[in-house]
Amino acid sequence: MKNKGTIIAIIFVVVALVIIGAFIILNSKQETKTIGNAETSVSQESKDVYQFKAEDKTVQLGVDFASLNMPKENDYAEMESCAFEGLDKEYTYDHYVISTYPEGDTDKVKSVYFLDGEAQTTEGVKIGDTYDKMVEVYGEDYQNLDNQYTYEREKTQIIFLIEDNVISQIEYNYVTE
Amino acid sequence: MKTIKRIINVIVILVIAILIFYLLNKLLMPKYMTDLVEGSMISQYYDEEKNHEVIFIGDCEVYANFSPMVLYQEKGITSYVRGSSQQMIWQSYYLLKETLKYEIPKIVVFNVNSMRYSEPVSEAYNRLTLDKMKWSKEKYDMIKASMLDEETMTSYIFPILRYHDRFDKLTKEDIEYLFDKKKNTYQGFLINKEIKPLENKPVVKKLANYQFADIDYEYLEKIKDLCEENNIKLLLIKAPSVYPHWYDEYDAQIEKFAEENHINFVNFLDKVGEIGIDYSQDTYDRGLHLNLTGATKLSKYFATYLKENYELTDYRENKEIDDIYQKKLEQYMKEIM
Repeated sequence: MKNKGTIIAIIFVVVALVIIGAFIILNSKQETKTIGNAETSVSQESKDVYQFKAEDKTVQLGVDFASLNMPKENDYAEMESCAFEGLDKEYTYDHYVISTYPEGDTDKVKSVYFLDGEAQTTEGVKIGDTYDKMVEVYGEDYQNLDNQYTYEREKTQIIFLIEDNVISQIEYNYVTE
Repeated sequence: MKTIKRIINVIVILVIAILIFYLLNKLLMPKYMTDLVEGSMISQYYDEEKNHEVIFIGDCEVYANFSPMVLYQEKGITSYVRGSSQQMIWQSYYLLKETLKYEIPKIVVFNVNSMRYSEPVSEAYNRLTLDKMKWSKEKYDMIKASMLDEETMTSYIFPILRYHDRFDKLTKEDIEYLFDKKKNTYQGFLINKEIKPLENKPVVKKLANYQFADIDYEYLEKIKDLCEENNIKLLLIKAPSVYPHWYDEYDAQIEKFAEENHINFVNFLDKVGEIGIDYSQDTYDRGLHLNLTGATKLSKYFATYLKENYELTDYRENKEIDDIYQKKLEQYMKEIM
């Protein structure tokens, strides 16, 4: 009888542990990510993503900034986060700014922001062009929020701000979350 | 007799299972004692004497920039900073609601930076504010308001569901602070003595829309109403953090709200020169937060502002309270030297 009691107790504990384990697994669907983490697999020279061409360089979004071998920037700024490790960085060139986000030991390209009408997208659109030019080049398959127009390919975006029918801001962006 | 014995056995096994489950939860929950100390700040308030005439609520721009010990030293003002990293406005509201269960201050100072966010931004930051908060209806409501789509309420109730993968990352800290904790702030102020000067400001991008979202106004109204119901004066501030950029369009909206509701609003970005803040010396992270010297300058300025504009008690003249604060000041002075 004593053995029977022990067996019941063991079964009970095993069942309880199985239930706890199942409970944990079923409820642990949420991520364990931290800020700044993102998948970064961008197909090289893929037609399915937006990328910026500056002089002889192709700036791919989401790749290691160091791998781009960019020339020395004119200005450089670093931004910390409220509590977490890692720095967002900005490299300013004559007509555009490349910003990066930290991932592990590397800095991945987050965005390319145009400073003036001297920079143009790979497809030839620049600040000062019209809404019609944007639509002629990129089509009407955009997401529109107020005066902002976003074209998206995989995790890359080109974002235009239009004021009085004229493009006033252009930014390439890499979607990290 | 056998039945009773069996029932007792079952109860004992159940209690052991619950105890193991409880201990596992405690063990796996981050302790926020030596790493990411920002996660432990919310809970430190519970151990304090509740005699504050000024309560700060808001994001890192309050806990890094305002030192209650300086407010006391300068003008005898008792205050506490209930700040946390990237504290959203809905979190500030529920945190204030919780605070009012413990004490009714004369002034609530709310840093308006969070008005720029219309939705929860990050689970990691949610955890820093919520993990160590005591369980209450306010905490439950705050979790509901804060959760991202991929988060679950059960993971807040049972942290093991969120932190089960910490099994192989446990450190000495997890054992040392399993039941214990240490204070790492002074009345909610997190001291940082480092100097990392602001060299270049980040580029300021145009936004598609500068209008604060309805949800932000909804919670700002709630904070205002909560203060009015409790006869508390609400004071809106914008701390002098250089980035993320505080747009003129943001400022105009806060000005308008403050004016319409007869609330004071101070944008310290406009007073940097007057306060004497030097971003080549007074910041520990290139202008996001002030370091100790910067926070001391700002707190001295703010102490004078509070004294000139509100009727606050000078507790340096109250022996009982002063004795408590002198002990705190002694520790504070040792730490900042």
